[in-house]
Amino acid sequence: MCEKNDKIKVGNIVVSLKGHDTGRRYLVVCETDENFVLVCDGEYRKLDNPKQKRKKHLKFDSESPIECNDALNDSILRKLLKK
Amino acid sequence: MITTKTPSEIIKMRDAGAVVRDTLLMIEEYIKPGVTTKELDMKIEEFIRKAGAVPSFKNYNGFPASSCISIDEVVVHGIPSDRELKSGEIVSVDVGAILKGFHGDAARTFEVGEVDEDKRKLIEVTKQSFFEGIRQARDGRRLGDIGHAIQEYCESRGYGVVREMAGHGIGRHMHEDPIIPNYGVAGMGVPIKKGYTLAIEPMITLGNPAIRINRYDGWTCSTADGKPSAHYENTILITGDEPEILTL
Repeated sequence: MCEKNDKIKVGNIVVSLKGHDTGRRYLVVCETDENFVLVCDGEYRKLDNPKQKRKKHLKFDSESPIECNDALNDSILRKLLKK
Repeated sequence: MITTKTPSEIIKMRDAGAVVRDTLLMIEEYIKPGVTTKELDMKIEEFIRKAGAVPSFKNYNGFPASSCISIDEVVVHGIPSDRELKSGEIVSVDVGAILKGFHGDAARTFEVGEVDEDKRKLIEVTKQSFFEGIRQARDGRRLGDIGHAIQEYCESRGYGVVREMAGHGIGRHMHEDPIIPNYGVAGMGVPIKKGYTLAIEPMITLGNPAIRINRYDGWTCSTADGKPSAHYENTILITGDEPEILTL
């Protein structure tokens, strides 16, 4: 059974396309429903205060997924997003 | 996260792959005009359960059957029903099984009775594109190499490559990272490493690659222009050398 080629999913890096944060890179940390995800960048939006974004206002940016586990913190996230 | 399989996990993946392979070999004999897709699904479920495995598609995100049976213009995720197969159609059967906690996933497209030359060629190109793709599936290459090889092989022959659906990593879960599109740029994407198990599945259409998903069942995925489509899938293991096909 094939998978939907929908890359806005947990662990992927995305870029904001709409809003005051246009162009900012984020990590998707949670999928709240069919249309929304929670995103963080470790700087403007820390892991304990994620931002809700509509999926269609985001663009997939990197093909290297990041594991969202306990070891991930804001400082690591900032470094990962800078790459 | 992409998981690398340990030797003991690989043994289990081989066993799960063997069940899927045997199921597809068994069902080929039953593909005849007049048989309903529901009957085929029942045979598949019975066979998988007899082998001590569990059909992984059943109830997966609400999918109502043990296999996806897609006729002609249906690309993937066809739900088995009382529809009878007719001579001249092509039918793709996608099967998944869980054995000892690990998944196997494979699909084939079969001819029903006598089919015309265009459809026969479509099945052949789809199958060959898979082998062109896995030629790139080696330790050190990148996922874009696989997608590029499939896209290049099919589009140069005038066939369409479905973009909205893709292959996937496989292991303890049916759908694991990474997503493996059947198109791409050579040298781009995630590096492929030894120990990855991937399900590579080209979905090729005779016409335009655009698809639409049935809004009533949420599953059936058909070509937008109504032209036939074929599907070929195997679970492969990345080794130091040629990839090992676990479901063939």
